[in-house]
Amino acid sequence: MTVLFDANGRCIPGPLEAKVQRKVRRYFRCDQPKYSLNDIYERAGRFIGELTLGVEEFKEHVTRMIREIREDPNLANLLSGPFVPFILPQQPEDDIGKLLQQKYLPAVANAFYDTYPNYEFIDHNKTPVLDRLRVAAATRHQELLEKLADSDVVGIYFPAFDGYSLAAAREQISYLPPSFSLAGSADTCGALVAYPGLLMRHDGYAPLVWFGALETENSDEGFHIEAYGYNLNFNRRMHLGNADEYWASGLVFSN
Amino acid sequence: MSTDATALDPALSAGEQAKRNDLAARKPYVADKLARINEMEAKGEISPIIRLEKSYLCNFKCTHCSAEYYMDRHLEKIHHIQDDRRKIDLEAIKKLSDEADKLGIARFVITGGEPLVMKDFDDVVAAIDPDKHYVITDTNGWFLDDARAKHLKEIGVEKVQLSLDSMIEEEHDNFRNKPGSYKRVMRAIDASLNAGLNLILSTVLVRGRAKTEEFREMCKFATEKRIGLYVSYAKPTGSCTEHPEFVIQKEDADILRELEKEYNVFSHMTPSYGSFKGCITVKGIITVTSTGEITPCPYIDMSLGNIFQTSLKEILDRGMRNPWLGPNRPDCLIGEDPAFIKKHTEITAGYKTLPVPWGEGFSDSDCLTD
Repeated sequence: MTVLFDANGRCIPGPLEAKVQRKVRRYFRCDQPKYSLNDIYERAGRFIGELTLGVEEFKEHVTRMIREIREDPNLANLLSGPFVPFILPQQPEDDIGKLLQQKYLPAVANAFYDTYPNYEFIDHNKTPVLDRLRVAAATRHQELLEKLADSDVVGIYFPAFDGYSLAAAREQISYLPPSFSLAGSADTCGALVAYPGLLMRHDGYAPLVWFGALETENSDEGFHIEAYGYNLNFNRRMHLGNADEYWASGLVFSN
Repeated sequence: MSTDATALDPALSAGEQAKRNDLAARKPYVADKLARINEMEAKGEISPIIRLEKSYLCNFKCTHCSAEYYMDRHLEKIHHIQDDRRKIDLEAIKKLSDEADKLGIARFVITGGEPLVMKDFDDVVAAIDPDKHYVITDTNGWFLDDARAKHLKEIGVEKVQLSLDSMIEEEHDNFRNKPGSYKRVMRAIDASLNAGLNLILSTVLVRGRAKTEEFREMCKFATEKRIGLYVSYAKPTGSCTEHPEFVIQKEDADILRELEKEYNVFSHMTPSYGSFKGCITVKGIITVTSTGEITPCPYIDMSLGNIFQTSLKEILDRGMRNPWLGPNRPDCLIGEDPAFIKKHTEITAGYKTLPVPWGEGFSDSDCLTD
């Protein structure tokens, strides 16, 4: 038996070549969302797009996936960390940057303003994303996008790669069962629409979350969402292959 | 590749663009270096502001002073010792200025103590070389009248950071333990602006202050005067070691982040012109103490090396590879992170003369999870 997650739901690093923190303090962390599946379903339909799957089917999918994780002793610890179920409406494959800019970021912004009308979602990114974002190899994110082209996708988002460089998170995916993929923009945004307060903490700081499955022609560059006080920022920065304790990538378990 | 320091940046206000154009006309070399900082950061290079503490002599005795434990008066009165370590002189400053320049570093802050009581202040400015570096001075404002402000501008100082701790005159004077100091700050504001110096006000945020009407008044005052208000969190070091109740909570930092939307107020964590560094230890600031030790921020009393023994580049590299100091983080390491505060307090408590030398506080074997 190989336990893949520690007692706090963090993915235990395998024999990785890229930079990773073997142990973390959990100083930058998300609190477990107190979510309602009915609300998640309603928000996805309202802010991202029309859903084909019914609310009861969505709830059944989530219940089944949580049970599957809980009943597997190698995976069960994952549920000790923060997680949020999400649903994405079917989306024919298209340019990732275009979908991010025209669909997913506006959805996050609108969901955020709906929940926190006094605070702001700000897109600070000044660099182009159209025709620039692509799926990084070995992240299994492409499989999620292909499923999404055929039907609605139900998933669970876990910010389980804290203290991993982007390269290490990509490497680590190969040590996980096939239902797992590294989060890109659609699923990370889906999780933030599902629970707009995922990165909001009043007594501490939440991690910055990368779209770890995505890359550009510049291997040092990445895109991310982070809290700024009670506000939410989308931005781009140079990660330079570093594994900062403030940074996390998301892990997705999907149907 | 040269960067055009006067190129229009749509993110800049008209006022800021005008200031940059003025600097580019007078000091093109300095303006060009400043314009390259974002480009350097994108490559993983750094251009920290160098705070230079040549002397700790001061005419004030402030409740929250971070430099108190470095002062002769503290060492003599509390520890009954004299500091006989080698001190930096003008030659050392010239050498540091050259080393910094070669690394693309562009900004020096003369601090202390109170810089304007230094007899050799003008010589220090010349040693830094205002045609190579953007020179800033901290001051409590006591000696900053029209004539002194005009003189500062003439010798090449570009900017003044003036401390103001309350909009309530009595509170400021009590905090500074100096009757009349509030009135002198108000005089210094006008003197600096009249002399054409860039000016920011600097204030200390203690726990709970962000919510007060007084703090909002200060934000309004600075904004109406078109002056930036720099907010420094109270840190549990120096004189503040005796006031742990001053240390802020996240709520204070978050309220400040909300006030940034409305007023011209910022902290060292505030994104600035496209730079989202978070905590600026090493990446955005270093301090050179009077004994040539380099600390990663004004409030961390543990050295990364001494300029008499180690090159500036190696000292900066030590800082950037340190797991506490190099990584990007959104909070203030010494002002908010309880684990680091505990480590720092425990280590520094064993030393009479600060900072703690490299290898005894910070070292290359540091780990976040010790």
